[in-house]
Amino acid sequence: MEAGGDVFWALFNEFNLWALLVFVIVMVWMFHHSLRYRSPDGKSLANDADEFIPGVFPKENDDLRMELAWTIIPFILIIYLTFIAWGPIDELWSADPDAHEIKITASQWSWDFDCGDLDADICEVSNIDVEGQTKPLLLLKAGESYMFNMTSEDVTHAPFFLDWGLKEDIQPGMETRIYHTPSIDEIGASLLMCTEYCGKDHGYMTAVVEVHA
Amino acid sequence: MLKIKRNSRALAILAILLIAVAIAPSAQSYPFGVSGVQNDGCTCHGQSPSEEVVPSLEGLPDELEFGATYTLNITFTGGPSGTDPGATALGGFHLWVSAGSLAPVDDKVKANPDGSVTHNGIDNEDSGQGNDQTLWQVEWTAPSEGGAKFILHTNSVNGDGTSGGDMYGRLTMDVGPQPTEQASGLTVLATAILLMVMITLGCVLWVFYRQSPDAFAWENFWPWFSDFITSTDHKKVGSLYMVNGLFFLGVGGLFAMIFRIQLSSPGNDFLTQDEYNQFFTMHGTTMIFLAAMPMIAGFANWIVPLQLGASDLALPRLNALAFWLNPAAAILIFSGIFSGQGADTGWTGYAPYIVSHTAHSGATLWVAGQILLVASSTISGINFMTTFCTMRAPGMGWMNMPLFSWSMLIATLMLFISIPAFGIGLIQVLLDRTIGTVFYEVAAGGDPLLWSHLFWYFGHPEVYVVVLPAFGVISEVLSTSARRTIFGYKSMVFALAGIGIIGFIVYGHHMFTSGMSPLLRFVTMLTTMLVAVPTGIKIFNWLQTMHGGSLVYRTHTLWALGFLVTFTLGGISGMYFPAIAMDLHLHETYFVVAHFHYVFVGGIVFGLYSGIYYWFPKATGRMMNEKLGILHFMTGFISYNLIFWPMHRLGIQGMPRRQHTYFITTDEYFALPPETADWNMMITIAAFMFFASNFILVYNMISSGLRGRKAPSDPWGGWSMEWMVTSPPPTPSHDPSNLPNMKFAEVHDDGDPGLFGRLIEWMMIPEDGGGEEE
Amino acid sequence: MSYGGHDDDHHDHQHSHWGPHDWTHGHGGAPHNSWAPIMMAFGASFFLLGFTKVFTQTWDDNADLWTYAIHSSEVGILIAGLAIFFAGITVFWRQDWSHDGSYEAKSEGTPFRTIDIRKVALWMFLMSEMMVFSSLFSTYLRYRTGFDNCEALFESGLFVEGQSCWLPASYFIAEGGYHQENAHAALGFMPDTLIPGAINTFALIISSYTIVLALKTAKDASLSDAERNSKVGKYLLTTLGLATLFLIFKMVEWFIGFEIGHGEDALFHSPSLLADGFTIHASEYTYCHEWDHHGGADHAGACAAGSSAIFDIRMAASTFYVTTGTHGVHVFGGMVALFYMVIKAFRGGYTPENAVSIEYFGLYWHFVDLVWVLVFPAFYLY
Repeated sequence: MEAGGDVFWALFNEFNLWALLVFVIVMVWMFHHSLRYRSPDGKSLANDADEFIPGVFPKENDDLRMELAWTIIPFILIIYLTFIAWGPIDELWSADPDAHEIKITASQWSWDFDCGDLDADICEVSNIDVEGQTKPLLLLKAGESYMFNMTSEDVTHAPFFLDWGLKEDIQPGMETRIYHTPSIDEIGASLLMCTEYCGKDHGYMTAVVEVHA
Repeated sequence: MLKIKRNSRALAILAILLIAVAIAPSAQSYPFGVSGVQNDGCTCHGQSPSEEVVPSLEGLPDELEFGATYTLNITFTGGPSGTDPGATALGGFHLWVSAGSLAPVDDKVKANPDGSVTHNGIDNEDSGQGNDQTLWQVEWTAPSEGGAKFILHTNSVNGDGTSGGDMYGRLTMDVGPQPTEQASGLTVLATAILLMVMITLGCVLWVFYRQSPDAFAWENFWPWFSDFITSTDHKKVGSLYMVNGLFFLGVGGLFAMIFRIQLSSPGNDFLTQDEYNQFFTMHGTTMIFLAAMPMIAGFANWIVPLQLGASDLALPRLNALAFWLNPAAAILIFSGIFSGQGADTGWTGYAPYIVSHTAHSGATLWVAGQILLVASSTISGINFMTTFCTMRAPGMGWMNMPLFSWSMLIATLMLFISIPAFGIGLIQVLLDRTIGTVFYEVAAGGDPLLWSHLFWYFGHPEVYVVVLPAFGVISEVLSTSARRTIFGYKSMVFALAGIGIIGFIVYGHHMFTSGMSPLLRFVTMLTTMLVAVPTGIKIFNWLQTMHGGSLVYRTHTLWALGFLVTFTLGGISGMYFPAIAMDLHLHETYFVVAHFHYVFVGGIVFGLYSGIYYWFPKATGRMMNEKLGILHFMTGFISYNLIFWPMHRLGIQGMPRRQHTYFITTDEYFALPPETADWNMMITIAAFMFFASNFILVYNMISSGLRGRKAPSDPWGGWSMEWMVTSPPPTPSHDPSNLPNMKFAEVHDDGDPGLFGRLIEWMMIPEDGGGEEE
Repeated sequence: MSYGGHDDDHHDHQHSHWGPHDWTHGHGGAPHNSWAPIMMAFGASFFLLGFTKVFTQTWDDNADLWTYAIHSSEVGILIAGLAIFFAGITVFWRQDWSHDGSYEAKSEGTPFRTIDIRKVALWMFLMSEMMVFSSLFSTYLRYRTGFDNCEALFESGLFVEGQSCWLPASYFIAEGGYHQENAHAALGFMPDTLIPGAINTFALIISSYTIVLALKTAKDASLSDAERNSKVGKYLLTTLGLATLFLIFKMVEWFIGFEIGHGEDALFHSPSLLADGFTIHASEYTYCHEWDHHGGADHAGACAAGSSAIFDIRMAASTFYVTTGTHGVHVFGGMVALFYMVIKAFRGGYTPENAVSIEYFGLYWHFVDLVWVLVFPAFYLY
């Protein structure tokens, strides 16, 4: 198993590629210039270095074409990155009308899952031991589409579905939702943690989500 | 030879003090029964324990049997209890135990949420009230291993219905094998901060002494000292800001060190959850509001009037007021933590947690302190905006200001426009927590997102407020070191202004998972992506500035180049968050922690370190020690990257931030990979290295300031107006009757105020035309 | 010598860190040393510390509720904080006392050249004040639009007992509220609790005019010194009086209520907002849709059968009290400044050369007035 869902990893790998490219350009540029144009004391104005006199605004040093280049090229890259980041949002936020609804109620500092009248095969709640503490265990079926309808009894919480790379805040007085269809690759149990700070036992507000075939 | 000896003696003293910090605390702090202050204390009647009241606790065995259950009898003698035959109440108790579990036997006793037991105040028809008694019974189940420590408080009550005239007594008992006493996090912290205060005071005295060792006399100390603390001179206020900022940088670092010990291995219990939550809250608050902001204000105070060719800031007394609000606020913010109930809300203080009863009572003081900091920022904002508008030297148009001044102008403007929203949010929270308004009370229809909006409307511009001055420093340092005019001065200014404008419309990216309207999330995703463009322009302009120059490697140059590396990394990792699909995984994990530390430390702190090395000779008239400076850079840069680079990896693997511990994958479930523990241990070790490396800077500043080589007025060959005056600058900084006149290396039309200037001239009614009320 | 020290040879004209200051001497004019900042900062800090100690709410686990209490025994720190703060302001003023316009810092920068620095600073200050009130208004708009109106909710019939809804302050204040039945019986018409609010509005508008008159008089070089001092002082005193009137009426409206005559025979009776139950703690407010105005004095029993419900109106009260309260604090701040100016005016502090101080105070005062013009309709009329 691996933290983060397919959507995350697809985007992450693409972003990594561009990040690496930008970083390498900046580093090569920086090391080249800082070593090529170095001087032991700064007094040997070997190159066309400018003379600075206190109180005198120095000669201008610019090149419109270069400045435009590194305004426009990053802008195009940004547009491209926005474009590829756009599609997955749709996938994450689209409601499936046939999704099985599971209610999650969060309170300080425990999770409560409610399967409603779903079949035990599709959704079942039991208990599991996490480092000596009894925590809820949510059993789900791979390939089924789920909608988590979430609300909080006291303060803000957020369930982090580690394996799917999803989280959404749970606000008191509001309903928030997560849609997900666990795939066959996501079979197995993973820890669910609280990722919006909620007080004393925030770090121990855990549960386990298990996806079975 | 003598000099070296003296140096090494000072270093030895410093080392001994550091070791003392590490080993001094060795006593566990146990509750003392301060009313309502500590979880484990009691809400006793009376302010101090009385010897007249003798509590007793019976039923504990001599030989403890692990896991067995004992019935304990609690009673007391003495005090005013029972003296009045018609009294409605006789007494009460509170029993706390360090291990095992306590349970009531009957309904005269009730269990508290924290595991302690106390008398039941609720009337019961069969058995009467729990406080009608002087004898209670509870059951204690011994722990499965180790002994326990009991703390019993009993109240002897005169029964007049009030707490007046009542007394209480206290008893502690040990049972079974006692653990070797271990320092609690809070004790370590208190000791360390106390030592830091003493070191700071010692430094002040030493500096005073070293100024004229021959003429040293105690009666001269107070005039010298009071001259500093009452000063309204921008240079002295700037120095006060720097001392304040560096002190709290150390304190914030201490918090980080202590919770890094907690996180060094999974399941660690060095800190309790309560302590951990307070410590990370105070780390964030201290670093941003009490360290970074004052240090930036310190630079601005020192440098802006000098660069603008002004004699002082526009409003010197208000400037001093803005400074003194900082330590005054710090007292409020820290007083919570030493009562054991410091704010535990995170630096964002999210509603509704911050107004809920589960948040510590110290959060109220935290909010109160923040309000003072808002006042401070507003006052200094007015001051600096006015200074920029009115006190530029003759001939210096808007587009001739040095870039550090420009960056401060944009930063001040942003802070100034955004911080009132935060202030109002804080006032609402303060009133919610004190007089009972309901702005964030969910039961009354309060909207938790309103706080997020008010906070991040301020909070996001705030991060630019702290990073823009660092941009300004880097612009100055790189340009001067490379002996080249900054490449694309105009595009640098427009990029700053662009960041300033876009910075206001991106804050929604902090709320991608908050349940905010999807449309708003999508819009802020687009605008957030846009921020990369002006930031990119700045980085490429810095790089191109070096082209064709003669780069001199000095300590400040090294820090500036180091800044370029780390800030580029921080900027790039920032690009991962606006992609909402990635943010849903990365939000609130260590990837976020890594990102903003790359920006805050790798950006701001490195930038400010560069500034310290750059302007130190100007401020003190002494050159800094370059060898120590390079040592500081090498150790600092390497250990810094060792801390924060692995955090990216931890974040991707899903380690959530703000959690007391972390869970390793087991056979039953998948969580973090086992090597997470090793990475965390390495991060902790590197964190201590980074912490220690900063003392090199402090030592360098003090020793160079007193004994360094004399500095000329323009040691690095810069062009801006601070290099025109002597080092250290005179008072007033530029002679007001003979202000410097801006000259230009090229022919320049300095009479033209420009489009913006004309617009303002058009808006302003000239003074000689009479008042506008006429 | 480094780290400051007495390296400036200009500090010799510095008489005292407490004031008064010699503004005509030396270069910069403004004082180089002052105890005022440190006193004001720590005074404010102690005040807030005292505030949180006096107003502490505790959570009652059994009832699942906050209990509110004023711990009057802790009021010492609060008062000490205020005392230190105002002592700091006094030091500030002692140094300003001698400011007679002979030294007035002028702008050097291009677009503002020759304009007083103080004027630019004041406009900057007003800019941040605008953000303060914008934030308050955005809170107001968020909740006003996000809540159902209690009256509409009751008429729709779709409510749950105890539901939170918005009962605007105007319901209590303007005509048509339920609490004037007594006066109605006596007078034959409905008196209006809007009166204090309306008087306040005019008081502020008039005070904006008197401050301009003060400025005009101070600039008038044709008057003799004694005459000018007296007139300026009187105009400023009038402004101060009107501001005091404003705050007094506000307190009356909040806490006291109006009564002409007594008890059963009251000719004019309108209870305070507090007595009407419009408080921030009103989680169980008994809303009465149709008051029977013929029911006599006891309006608690006068609600027509079947037309009452219990609502939670705390949010409306919170926004009302905090927004108008913030404005009131601004008025109070202005009064503190006016107090100083009145004394200075009678002592001859404002001359044609030094009239601008009144102008700059006037800018602030106009702003406070303007904010009231926005607050008034939002909270009193609708």
